[in-house]
Amino acid sequence: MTHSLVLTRLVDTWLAVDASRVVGIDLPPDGRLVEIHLASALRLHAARQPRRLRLEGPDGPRELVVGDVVQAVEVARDELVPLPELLRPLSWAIGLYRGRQTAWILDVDALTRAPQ
Amino acid sequence: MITRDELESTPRDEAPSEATEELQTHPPVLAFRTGTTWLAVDALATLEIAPYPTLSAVPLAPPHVLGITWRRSHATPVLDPARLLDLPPAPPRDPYSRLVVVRALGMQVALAAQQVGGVLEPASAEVDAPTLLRTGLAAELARAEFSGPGGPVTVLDLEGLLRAARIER
Repeated sequence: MTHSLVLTRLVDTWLAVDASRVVGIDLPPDGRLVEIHLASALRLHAARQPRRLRLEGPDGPRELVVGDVVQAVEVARDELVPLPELLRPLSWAIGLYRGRQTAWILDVDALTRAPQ
Repeated sequence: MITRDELESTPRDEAPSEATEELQTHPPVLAFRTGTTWLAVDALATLEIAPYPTLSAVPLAPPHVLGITWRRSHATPVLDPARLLDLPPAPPRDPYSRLVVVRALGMQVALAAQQVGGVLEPASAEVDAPTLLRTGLAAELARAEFSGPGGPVTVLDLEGLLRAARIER
């Protein structure tokens, strides 16, 4: 069984979004949608030419401004692992993808509910 | 859809280490240096000594969490004991830096070390009450002291260290 992820990179940090939550990539800006800047939310350096994911969040669609690299990948179930116990309280991630690179799988619900 | 609950159903870490004997029996300890301070933890809780790898950063983690790496198929947080215990800062990693991979409380973590002194078995008469680390969390977790090859060594309560290192929501 495979899952689909959308990977993005912010400088050296890889992050992943469950592809089933992604409505579109680099869609024309819709000024009515709330924008969430991933770099700001996670206190990472912003990409010079960030790209955009349109997500379906619990409170409706959101624009997630991500890194300058975006890749859609099919991953095997055994490449998805839970957060280590010590880091389990992290509110923004639900697990890890261990593929060619290690990516944090984002908790879309938590991120899109974050106050802007 | 991938959910936290689904991932949580994957075995994370196995049962807690059985190696938590009371220090009064003077079990063997694994000594390592962080900065200028020699520390030691229960050797039986030590899984391996590993080269210091390139780490994946952990966004929004406290400073004592240096990153994660993969050891024994587990995502393993790497901790900086000096920062956690408010000891003199450890220098950036160098070619001699190592990870001391330990397991306790069902958690597998790695402690960043500038030098590993190996497994030591101090005689009971050589082990004293801790006096070197006198303040804060370090004093709270210090269990004993003895003279090691590189200088005085403070034996830490590993479980207490990991409890203190666990991040908060």
